[in-house]
Amino acid sequence: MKASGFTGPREFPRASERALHDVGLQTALQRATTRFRDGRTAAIAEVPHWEELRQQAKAVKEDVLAHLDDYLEQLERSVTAAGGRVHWAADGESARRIILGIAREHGVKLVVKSKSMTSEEIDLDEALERAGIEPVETDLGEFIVQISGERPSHILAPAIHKTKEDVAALFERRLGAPYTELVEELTRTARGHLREKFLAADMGISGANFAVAETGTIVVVENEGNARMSTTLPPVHVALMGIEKVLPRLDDLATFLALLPRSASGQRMSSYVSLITGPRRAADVDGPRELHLVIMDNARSRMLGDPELRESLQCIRCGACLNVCPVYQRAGGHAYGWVYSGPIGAVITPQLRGVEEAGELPFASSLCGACLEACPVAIDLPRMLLALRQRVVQQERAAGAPRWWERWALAGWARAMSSARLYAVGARAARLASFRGRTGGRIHRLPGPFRGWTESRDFPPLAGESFREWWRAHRGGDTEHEA
Amino acid sequence: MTWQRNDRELVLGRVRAAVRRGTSPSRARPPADAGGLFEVAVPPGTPLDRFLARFEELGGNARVVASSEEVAPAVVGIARELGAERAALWETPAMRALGVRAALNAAGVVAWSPTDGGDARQAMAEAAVGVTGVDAVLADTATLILGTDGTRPRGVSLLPPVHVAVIPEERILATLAEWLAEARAAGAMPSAYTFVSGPSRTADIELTLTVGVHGPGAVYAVVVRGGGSAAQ
Ligand code: SF4
Repeated sequence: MKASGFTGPREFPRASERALHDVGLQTALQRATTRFRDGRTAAIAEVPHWEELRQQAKAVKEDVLAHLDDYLEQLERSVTAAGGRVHWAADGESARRIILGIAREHGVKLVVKSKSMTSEEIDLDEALERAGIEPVETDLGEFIVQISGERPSHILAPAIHKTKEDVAALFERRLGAPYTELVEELTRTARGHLREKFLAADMGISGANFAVAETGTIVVVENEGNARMSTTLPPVHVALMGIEKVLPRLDDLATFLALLPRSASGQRMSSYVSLITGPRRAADVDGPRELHLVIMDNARSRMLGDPELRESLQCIRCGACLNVCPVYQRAGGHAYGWVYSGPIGAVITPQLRGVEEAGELPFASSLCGACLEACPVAIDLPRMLLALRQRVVQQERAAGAPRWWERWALAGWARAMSSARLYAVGARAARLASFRGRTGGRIHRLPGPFRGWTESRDFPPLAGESFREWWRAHRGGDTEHEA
Repeated sequence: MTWQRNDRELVLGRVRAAVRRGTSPSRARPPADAGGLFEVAVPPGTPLDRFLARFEELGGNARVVASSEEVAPAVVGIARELGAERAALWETPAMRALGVRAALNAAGVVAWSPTDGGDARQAMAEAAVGVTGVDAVLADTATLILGTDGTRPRGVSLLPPVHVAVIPEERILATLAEWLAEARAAGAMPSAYTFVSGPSRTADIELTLTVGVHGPGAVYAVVVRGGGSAAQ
């Protein structure tokens, strides 16, 4: 395991193969994605102007991106006028240094954190730990993955890959709680443990779903109340946001709060939305005495300056594209190897981490278009996936190391994953295929175009089979011959 | 602090350059208040009826009273049912006028509100019930909107396991857009507005819905029918 706990995007082919044959994970993924999808479908059915709302959201985001410098400066002025302090971070390192600086200034020992992918993106927890500060993830799912030393597997349900038995054993081992498989009991255990942390914490760190330029208001959307706790109880609140999170006007929240909860969890409104404008006022009874807003670039300005990929900055991290994606449904979040998964992860990870590290991901898609249809901001993810594929291939050709067969195989497999018919055919073929082409339980050689792949990777047999399934169904021929 | 300064110019410089480079076909920004945009299919009836329907769907527990005199007895009734020994309250003029605090004390429930001073956080954390008013309510999502100031601590609706909100019927609005327009017109924002839609919930373990994970596990509404001057 790397320090970050991520396997890395390059592992996608292997990691997704492993996921495919993990029966427990497949069950959990099916259940979760189906539930979120059905919830979303029902929730948007009640909204007659859904399409107009999406277009409105898109127009607002386009306006934001076209004038981002102005809006960011306006946000800075408004937050400052409300008594908050604004910090600018060019990259993750700078953001970590700023946050550690604030922590040191206040002698912080314990930090409560509410779910923030942006903080995951910069490995903030690890940086805090190295500085001798205890970071506690307080969203229940995030807490579970944190104390088990893992990473979240879904934007909305970070611990979806774990069963209640896993959690029971984990809480017994790590919290000394009596073993119980009752979910309510487990939740109560976490509540008690985390309540003490909230009351003792010296600093709260949150993300920001939106930041309103005209009022300097930071908006945090959640269901559990852990973000309210983290932004209310500790004496210092630090909010970390990417530059793209700004919205021009308070009114824009009507549009985005109509779209986000419905797209994410199928709720008409999330249980809690906090509109935070500055730290506590002199007369207030509670709330943090200091509010720091860290505005982070971290490669986003590069995306902004890229006409083909700028649109990826319109994302509001709802997770809808994950739930409708046939590849995500099978592979799960961990296979993507880093913070962002699913179609949006396949678009932004190569931009944030570079093609060298994440060039596989744009090929891990069937281009079926379900993500575009589901996206509340109508982000054209398939278009960007295609554009990125071209770039990856060009870049690697230029570097004299073309791996395009490999990419092509991955794309074909992704297509197969998304087709129930091909899948069924493949599954039948698998029973036959499992008797062929193996030595010592490992497949050492795949036919034709897949040879390049097997030459560099040692395939577990089941992994080989699913490629063979696809190959068979696609070509309808024998897979054993040499090309 | 020089590095912060540098990063500011660095980030804004990059953004400025990128904004110019990556021009996308710009389209006119539609008016924020595009007519009918925020309509949703709703249950029949008045805003109150709709709020009640949605609130109950979220697992909320609502009581409607005919006049402001009935608010305090309704709150005491809830506290009694729960066997609450301690309560924490907002202390707005409207809330005082309702006499909730006195009624709770008379019923043997120790009631804390901001003028009591002391350790506010501890008082709120030890309370079995937190009683607040509302700035407004959104009927179609059963959303309670709470502001904050010296008389309206945030913790009252957060730390106790049960939240009771007193709602004047005339503060039930249809949509968020309506409230946002009001809030914008009102000028300076308080340090926090909190939207509360039902109890604290999670589905993080095997997608099993569980309430009361961090915030209150139960939310009650005492709605005062139109005309009764109730808490804000
Ligand atoms: S790309 Fe669209 S659907 Fe996917 S997470 Fe972002 S906003 Fe949601």
